[in-house]
Amino acid sequence: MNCSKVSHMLSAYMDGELQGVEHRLVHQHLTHCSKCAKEYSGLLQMKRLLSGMRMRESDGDLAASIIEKVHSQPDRTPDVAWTTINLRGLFSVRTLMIAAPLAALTLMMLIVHHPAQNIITWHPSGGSVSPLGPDQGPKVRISNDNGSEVQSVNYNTIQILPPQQPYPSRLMLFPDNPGQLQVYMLFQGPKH
Amino acid sequence: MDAARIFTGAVRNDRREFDSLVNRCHRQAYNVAYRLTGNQSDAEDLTQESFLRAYRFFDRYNREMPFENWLYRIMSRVFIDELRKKPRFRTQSLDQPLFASDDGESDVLMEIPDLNSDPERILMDETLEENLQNALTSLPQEFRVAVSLADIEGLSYEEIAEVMNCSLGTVRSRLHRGRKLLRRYFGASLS
Repeated sequence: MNCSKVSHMLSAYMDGELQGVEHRLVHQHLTHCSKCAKEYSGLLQMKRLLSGMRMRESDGDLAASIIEKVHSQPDRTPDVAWTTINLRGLFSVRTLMIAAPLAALTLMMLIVHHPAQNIITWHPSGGSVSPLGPDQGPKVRISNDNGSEVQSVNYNTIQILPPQQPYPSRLMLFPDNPGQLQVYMLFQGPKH
Repeated sequence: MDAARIFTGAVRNDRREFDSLVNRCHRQAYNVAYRLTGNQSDAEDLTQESFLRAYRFFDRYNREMPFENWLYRIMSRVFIDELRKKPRFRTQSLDQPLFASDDGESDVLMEIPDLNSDPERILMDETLEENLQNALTSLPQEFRVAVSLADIEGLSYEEIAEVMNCSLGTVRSRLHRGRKLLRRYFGASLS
């Protein structure tokens, strides 16, 4: 192995990030090449100096100031008014015949085609919202962490809204009886 | 099921969890931000902005990754992207040659103590630390982030690759080039 190659590997060698053979070759080279050994020694000293730098501390109470700013952020929730929208006008037979299967299909497709999104959880219990099957129409099952069913209901329309800061994706369920619209936030990924 | 109540509960839980993360990580985060920016005021801004963004995107935080690493990912993005648009901090383009004079040798030589005697026991005096910080601050941003994460935070190459969203080869190259520039900065003072 020549000096140029070794020089490019010295940093990784120093950090213990070289694999077996490479590590051994660099190690052997350093034992008989004073030029590279000198370069290595310089790198090592630089690393020691950097890691020996004192921990810098902010003068003020940085944590308090960050927390205060976080708390002054608007809630990451939709307006409460969202839950009291009067949906009577939406539920004509014609609208439902078209919209409901389409929306259910959208939900299915999202789940089927995006394996990373196959666990849909809602806060705070980490339960899941899942369709019951294509033959059962726009129906969803809401279950909790251990998989037991909390609620299984018919909804006339299901709509998924994409993430829009500061809100994550939202699942909107329009119940059989026009009344309160139900909105759930969707959280993808492992349960927590 | 009352959706509004779910939201309120979720927000309260998020905030409680986030507050404890701020309390746990802010010192370390500030230290890294200081090494990246080189001064107190910018370090505070960078730390605050990183935490605020982390809170805004908290739903997307994958708990399998240490929170600190996720925060550094946000911090390095804020540092590299935002500040490139309006370079408030001292920055250096990757294309621009550093420190080298016509003969290719360093034209900036720093006084640093003889490290060969016992490097572990060197007392870091203020001048030396200031010189080190100046050297660090003069690096292109990507190199500075990589070197800070490796040498100040002690992250592995794999973690740095995850934080910087790049390959292991890129991490290796950024560290190699960054450290080479640092060595040049100090010229003959380092053996």
